[in-house]
Amino acid sequence: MRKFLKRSLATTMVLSLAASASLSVNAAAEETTYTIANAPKCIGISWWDRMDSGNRRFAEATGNTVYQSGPTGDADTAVQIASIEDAIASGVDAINVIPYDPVSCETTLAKARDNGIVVISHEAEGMENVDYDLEAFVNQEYGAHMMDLLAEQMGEKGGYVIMVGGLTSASHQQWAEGAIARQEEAYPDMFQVCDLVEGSSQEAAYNTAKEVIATYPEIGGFIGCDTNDPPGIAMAVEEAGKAGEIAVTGTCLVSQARDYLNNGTIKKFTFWDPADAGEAMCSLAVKVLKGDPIEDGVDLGVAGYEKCTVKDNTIYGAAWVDVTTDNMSDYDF
Amino acid sequence: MKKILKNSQFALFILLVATILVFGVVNPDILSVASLFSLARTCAVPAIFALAIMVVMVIGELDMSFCMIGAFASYSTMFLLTKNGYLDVPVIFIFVMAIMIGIILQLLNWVLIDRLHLKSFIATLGTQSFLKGAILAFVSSSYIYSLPKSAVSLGTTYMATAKYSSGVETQLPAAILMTLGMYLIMYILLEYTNLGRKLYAIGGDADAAKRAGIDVSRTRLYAFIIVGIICGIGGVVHNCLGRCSLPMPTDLVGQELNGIAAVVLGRGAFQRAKGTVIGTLLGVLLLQFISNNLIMIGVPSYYQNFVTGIIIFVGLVFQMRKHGGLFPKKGASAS
Repeated sequence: MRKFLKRSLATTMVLSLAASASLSVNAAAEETTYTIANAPKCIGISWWDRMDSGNRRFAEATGNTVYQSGPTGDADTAVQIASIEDAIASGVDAINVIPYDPVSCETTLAKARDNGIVVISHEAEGMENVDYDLEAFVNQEYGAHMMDLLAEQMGEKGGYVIMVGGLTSASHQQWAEGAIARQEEAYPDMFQVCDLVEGSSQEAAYNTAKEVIATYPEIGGFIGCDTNDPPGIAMAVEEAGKAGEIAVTGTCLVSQARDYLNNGTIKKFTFWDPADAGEAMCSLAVKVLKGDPIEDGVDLGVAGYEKCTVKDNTIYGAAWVDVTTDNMSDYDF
Repeated sequence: MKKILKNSQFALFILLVATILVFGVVNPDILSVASLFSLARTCAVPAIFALAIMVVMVIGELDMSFCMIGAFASYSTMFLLTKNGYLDVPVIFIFVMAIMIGIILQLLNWVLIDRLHLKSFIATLGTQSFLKGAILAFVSSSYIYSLPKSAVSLGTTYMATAKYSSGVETQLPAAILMTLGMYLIMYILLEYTNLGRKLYAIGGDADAAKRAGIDVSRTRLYAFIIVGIICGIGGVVHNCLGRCSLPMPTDLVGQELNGIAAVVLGRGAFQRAKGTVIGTLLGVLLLQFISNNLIMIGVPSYYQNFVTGIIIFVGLVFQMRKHGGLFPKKGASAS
């Protein structure tokens, strides 16, 4: 036993020596590595933790340095701007920003670009002072995709309703728009039982869904845009004794939908993986730093971002991920 | 005094009945038992928190932190239990733990308001944001979706089931009994005990109460302990019914003004008594009934807040008219 330990220790040492040697060789071969600051709306909650795991994946694979900083726990524009300022002052090569309030970040980001820093934004279509804005998908297409999921589960016929997190949320409105357009063109036997409804929290989603089910018995399915919506809707569907009859899908997270996936009230939902988005942003930043051409069809080397559409300074992937009981363990956050 | 108070609540009661009837004409399903069960489920948690803020308002203060304290107490309890694998603890244990945390946090408010003489509105806004930060920094930020079993079963124990005409079911959750029990206890406490009278006296005029020999500081302490207990229970019931626990649930934190609105509606335009139990219950019922049934009468989502606001205005004006028109003795002395 001791001998075995000794030998394995020795092996490990040799291996790690070799590894460090090869690392330094790599660094020498590539000449430059870059430092990238990732400034999300806030840090410390699972969504952005997940994005940071994408950052780390990129850092480990390429030898670049990526770090995340921002307001803790609660999105806060002032703190976010301060951490961007810090990044500028510390002389990073690129900043990947997910602005809480895009307009108020413009000035600071302009300053970053004046200092020769590459700026990549995410979830902020139409920003000016960035090199590129990277979106996981075209919002309308994502909406259409959610409609496809719903239609599949409803047998392409029956009444449905779309729930948004907030009626003023631009992205949710665009998803809904895309979903309805897809239904009108592809699924003539489906119809909206009523206008968009609002579910800003799980409890609100539950209450609203319960009301909708009581008011419109012809309802056959729900799309919930906010991650809080599908679990709330599923709870209402179960309580109404309609599990299995009323389809529930939309945007959600495994942690929130686990019980309902397991018992079948939610069969399939979709979302985009912030880890992939984080990694794709890093990859895009390095491409820009190296001066690689960014044009239609650009491949960022991350699933869903292999063949991106470029429109002005916005780059769109097609990076939604569908989750069922089969792959839920891969996205356990 | 008492008569006028009763009548002011009566006005609110009439308004509630009228609203229900008008809604019922549009959609008869609203007058069904199923709809009543649904309303009970929706009211269970907001009613508990309205009771908490009512006690604070009775002693003439305001509190912006009571929802956050409820959320904090319950989330930290659930977090400690689930993280350490105590998924089989009896539900009473969960309540006791959350109540202890609720009391401790409300004692902080008591120190700020009573000892340091800070304005309660500002002080409790501070408490709210302090706790928002503390829960994420020192407890956790992750959402808990697997609660202890006893909590889940409390949330999914139903006393009765009813059906809408369409055959859709609704259930009456057993947790509503806790809400009703708390209202009953608070009603007895405020109307029939010495402590209740002291609380009202301090709310009416703290200096006069002091001169009348009431230990204002200690009475306030009792009030904050009561509020802490209510917050702790409310937080746990909220988690049980929602079957999940969030560090900052947006359907709770941020809804402080709805609780205050219910109390204000309930006490009517006549403000000498700063809050009453029955009035608060009616206020919660009215607000929740409206927001719970607008879809059922076909009001599009875009108009819902708008309509809710209008009905609150109508409620306040209606009560004022009732008071001014039928009971012109505005200056009737306070008890």
